[in-house]
Amino acid sequence: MEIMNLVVTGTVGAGKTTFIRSVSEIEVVDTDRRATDDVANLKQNTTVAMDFGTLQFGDEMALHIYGTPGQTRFDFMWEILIERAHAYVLLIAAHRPSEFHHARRIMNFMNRRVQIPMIIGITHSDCEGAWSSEDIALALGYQDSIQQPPIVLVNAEDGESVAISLITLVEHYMQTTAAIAPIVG
Amino acid sequence: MSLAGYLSEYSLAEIFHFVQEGNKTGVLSLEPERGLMRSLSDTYYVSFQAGRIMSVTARNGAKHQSLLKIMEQRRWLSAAQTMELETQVGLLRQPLGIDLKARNLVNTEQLTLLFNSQVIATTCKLFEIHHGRFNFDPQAPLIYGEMTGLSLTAQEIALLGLRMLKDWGGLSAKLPAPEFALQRLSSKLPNLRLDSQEFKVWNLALGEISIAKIAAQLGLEIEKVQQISFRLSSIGLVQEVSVEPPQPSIDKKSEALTPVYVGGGNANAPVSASFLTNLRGFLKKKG
Repeated sequence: MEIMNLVVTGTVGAGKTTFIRSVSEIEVVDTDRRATDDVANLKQNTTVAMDFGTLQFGDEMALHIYGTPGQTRFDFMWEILIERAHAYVLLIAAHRPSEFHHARRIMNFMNRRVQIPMIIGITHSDCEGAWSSEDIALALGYQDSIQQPPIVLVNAEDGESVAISLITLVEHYMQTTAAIAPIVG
Repeated sequence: MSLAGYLSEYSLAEIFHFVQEGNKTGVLSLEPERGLMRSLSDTYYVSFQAGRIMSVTARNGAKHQSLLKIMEQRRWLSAAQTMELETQVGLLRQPLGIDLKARNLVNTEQLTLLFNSQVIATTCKLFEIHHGRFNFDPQAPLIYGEMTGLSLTAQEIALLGLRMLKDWGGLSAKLPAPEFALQRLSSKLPNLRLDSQEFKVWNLALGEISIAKIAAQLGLEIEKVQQISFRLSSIGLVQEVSVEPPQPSIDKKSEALTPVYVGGGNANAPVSASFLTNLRGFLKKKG
């Protein structure tokens, strides 16, 4: 069985669990618990360990999708999950600029541990007060578009939209791995 | 879509950095929280052209100190000249200062003085505001009647404003923690003129040494290095990163990984090209 491990990470309330639910072929294994801290202001339940979903697309091929908790106090899970990942998606809610610093910290955490292809998925871009993708990229520290990973607008509740974002990630993975593949001969 | 929010979330230096890096043109309005400081106006308007700060104006209710009035107060213009010019400012298609210089009504030195007081001094004061709203409007018409024609990059002004900041209390929650390290965002020497302490900190921003250790190495107080780090980070020269944790031993690592080993897969081996092609095709059917 060939398996690709994909991690979906991001800030609290960005839609990580929903993203996985929208595309998974199995009932998502989640560890959502009632939020008891500041997170309760954003949503009722929050992921405390991880979410898991899968896509089987052949007898011997499957995509495994792991969702991380958004809160820093569960960052030991980020490390465990990212070290086995082939690629990752960073989800950010565009209408919560107060969370962009945290998103940058998550991204730095991941990129310091692994060098794997990643894309940025912007959710809630149609909400009031949403920042544009360009401004979010600046807030994440990307000062030029050359070094910037692909950025996609995604509706985490819509399976088609999630599938399109995953296609972007797969294509980015193909380009990145082709670029670093050794030349034979 | 707007670049808007609260100064408690983003410092002015960070907002300036976004505007400069985005090469933006438009007007940034800042509304300090009421009752914050007596000397503050209701709203400040900072005009940007391609990421450079062109003018700063303040409005208190209907009152607003115009560039022409300042020139009249300094006796560079007579009351009659000011009145006549006031009827023309709305038609300007270039900064007022350039127009007046072409008419020999002001010289370069006077414009420099005006810019220093209107833009540099006012902006430096703005860095003391830590609570209030900000909104960048790229559609707002540029206020040519308030421009001297001189400009500075937002990064230069931010560095200046933060250097002059005496009370760091409002930014204390935003300062990088002493256990964090700094990492340069570019290996090239910055174009800005850094002071000697800033340059020394930038030199050690290699992502390996914590801020506390940098302070010890340079013989500076930790708080001082935190402030320098914030300055450098706000203008996009460095970013804070966690110091690389010690790598776990092989046994500990495999133990830690066991609980999430759900279905298999070897992350160390890249996924095959045929796998990716099949996955893309499968997703296209869903998308």
